[in-house]
Amino acid sequence: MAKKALEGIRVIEFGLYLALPLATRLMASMGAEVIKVETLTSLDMSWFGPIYAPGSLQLEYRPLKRNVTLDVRQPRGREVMEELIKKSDVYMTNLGEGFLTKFGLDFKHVQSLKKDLIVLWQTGLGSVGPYGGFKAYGRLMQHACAVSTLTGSADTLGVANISYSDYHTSIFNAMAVIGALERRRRTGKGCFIECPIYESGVVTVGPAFLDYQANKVVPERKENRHRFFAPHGAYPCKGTDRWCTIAVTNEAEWKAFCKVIGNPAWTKSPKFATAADRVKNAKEMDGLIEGWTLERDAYDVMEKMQGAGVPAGIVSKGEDLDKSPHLKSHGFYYETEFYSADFEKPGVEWPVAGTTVTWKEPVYMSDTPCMFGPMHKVGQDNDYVYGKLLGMSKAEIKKLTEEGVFK
Amino acid sequence: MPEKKREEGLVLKARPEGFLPKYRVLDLADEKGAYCGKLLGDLGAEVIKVEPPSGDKTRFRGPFFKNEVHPEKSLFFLYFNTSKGSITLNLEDRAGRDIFKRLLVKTDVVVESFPVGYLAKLGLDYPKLKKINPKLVMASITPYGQKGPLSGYKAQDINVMAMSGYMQLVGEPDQAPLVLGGEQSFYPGAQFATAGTIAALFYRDSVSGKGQHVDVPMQEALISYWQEQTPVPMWQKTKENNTRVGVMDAMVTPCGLYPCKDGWISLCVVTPQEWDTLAQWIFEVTKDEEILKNEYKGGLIDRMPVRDMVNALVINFTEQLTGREIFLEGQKRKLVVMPVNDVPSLLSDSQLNSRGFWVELDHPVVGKLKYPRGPLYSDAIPAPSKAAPLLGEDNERIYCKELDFTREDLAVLRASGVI
Repeated sequence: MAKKALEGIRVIEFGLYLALPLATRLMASMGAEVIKVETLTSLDMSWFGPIYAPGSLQLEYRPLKRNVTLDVRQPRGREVMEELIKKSDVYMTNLGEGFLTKFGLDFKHVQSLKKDLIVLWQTGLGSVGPYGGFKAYGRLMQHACAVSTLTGSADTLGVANISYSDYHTSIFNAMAVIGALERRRRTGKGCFIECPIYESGVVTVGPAFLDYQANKVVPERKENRHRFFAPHGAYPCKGTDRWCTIAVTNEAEWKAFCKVIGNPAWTKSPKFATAADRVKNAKEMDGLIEGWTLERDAYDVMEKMQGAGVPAGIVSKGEDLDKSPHLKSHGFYYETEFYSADFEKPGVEWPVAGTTVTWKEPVYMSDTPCMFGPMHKVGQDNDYVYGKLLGMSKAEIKKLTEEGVFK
Repeated sequence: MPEKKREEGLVLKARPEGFLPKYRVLDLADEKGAYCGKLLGDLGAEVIKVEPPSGDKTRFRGPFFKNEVHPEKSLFFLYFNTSKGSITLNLEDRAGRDIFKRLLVKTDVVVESFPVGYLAKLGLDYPKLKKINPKLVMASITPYGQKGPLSGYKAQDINVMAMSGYMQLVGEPDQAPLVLGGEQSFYPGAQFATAGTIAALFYRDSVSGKGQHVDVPMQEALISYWQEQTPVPMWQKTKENNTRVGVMDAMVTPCGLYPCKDGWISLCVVTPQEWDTLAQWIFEVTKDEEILKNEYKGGLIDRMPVRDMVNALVINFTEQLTGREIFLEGQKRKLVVMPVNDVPSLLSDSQLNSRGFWVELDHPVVGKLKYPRGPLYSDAIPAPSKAAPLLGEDNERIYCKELDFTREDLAVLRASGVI
């Protein structure tokens, strides 16, 4: 058995969507025993995605986690949750304060259950303050975090078709909890941490905050052109929607770039003589470069540039990632089963819908490699968790299952 | 708007004992990995930037304070190097490497982002360093990782954003894919490396007593940052690729960016109740009954067939109000509406300010500026308290106090270009 970095750490995941489950996905791959607590009485729409393979989206969030069904809205369900928390090292949730308080799981109470418990609460715009408790989606967060105002052109903001800041939040969640485990090892103390999605996106605006304070400059949106480097952009290549990015950042790369494109006369023009000239006349230069890239395959452009030491890379699509020899050499994708949701039946009875690929955590640790593997079915670990961990009898588990507490 | 009082339990007390112990971190990383050292430092580690005698190359990266090119005035460097110290050391010089090896004995972590193979050429790759200090953890943050056919490829931010496929999802469908502003590829890899490094330290100190190498490819970190679109399964199952959808969502309507009186506002309607609430509000503002029609009712994707009409009606409404009016009133009505903030509005944002998000740090050359404290609020986690280091500001402390060089020795090392 491979050694695991977080071996022996038990984590309760009580939450939905993307950022929280991704944090525990990473921790589970590092060997933590993550127990996802959910209930089939509250429909999780994401079980029906994506349309071409319903159910497979769950592979993005669930591999290697244990899974129990539990309805904490019932008094007995809440008690079971409390017992579970007492047996755990970490409790992570992204549920609203109103819900948690209503069903007797407010944080003061949760923290009182176990002296050295580590509690992480992921929030949207933050729990308190003028926007405390406001509703938020990661996809819109790219606007609240100003990232879209730094992207695109003068007239239109550039928008990512992604739940932008959720990902940043997920890794902050994980690093905070692992750090808290280290602190507990040293001091014996647990702690409470709040991680808002808002702030985890805002930090990625970066040096622009200092630029505004120091220089009153808000960077203008220049599509793919860079403030200090040129050429810098995504250049159209042969084929439909095929692009290769090129970034020239110094004189040596500029010379190499010119050589690759055959030293055409325009590269000798005084308009492009110095780095400053090239930045100033970047738009015109980009048009000239396109003349060369449009006649070539994107991979060909990339390989020629890289061969000469010029930073370049194609704009990958799913098909490129799928066939990438590089990603294959890392074993980045692996294939595993997924299930068809049927909320009328217990999760363990849901049929296997097929197999598809999902990704391994992008952290290659030499001594404790991150694990990868299948996802558990919903409620698959009820017997282990309620029987073995909490010491309930078979009869009691059966009774609570029939009463709908374990639904 | 009156600010809610902060509730008990989230009031951050005076500087606590530090979240991480004072792990000694030697930070050799450039822009690709500097954020990792910053996070470790912000969380309590003792991070020392090891710079060539002429200064780390990111000290020469714009923008600059008052637009003056100067190694102590790079705002890029200032942002990514809070909570760090600095020593100068020439690793390309043999005497410099000997000093580095002496430092390693008391070091917990090395963070680096050199081109793959560079450290091996200097005899400073992980297997060699581990012989000197078996407890050492090393984090490497590089565009494509330490192994594989692309490991030698050069990349700037835009190239990694492209190769990860992230760019394919940004912008308008019929136009060029866009790189996100703010050089976003410098964050995910460094974040994963930070989590991996802390996990490696936790494992070392609680179980193995030994260090390990943490290798993070920025490309894969970024691929995981758009996994919700399942690019590879989609290609395998449908032979189609994900693409850009522009400022408005292609499926859910209304969802995305809408023009308002003073700029843009973002909103997204998912449930039938949310639609009813929004339609009622639009009617109150525009007095146009069209919006209340049954054919527009429903959830998630029900308005797909009438997308253009619905978006037109929504825009007719959003254009009559300011972004702030729509945001505050929308949230009051339990709709998911979010402001479109720019850099200045975030610096003055009442939410961030109410939580002490902006921390003023004093730097000896550029003076006081506000920096983000980070997204983690806890009594256990202190706010960053030190601005970026001056070049070599810890030379005497490290070389004289720890390695027993005399001041005369330092002068000689300086003159010979070692430090």
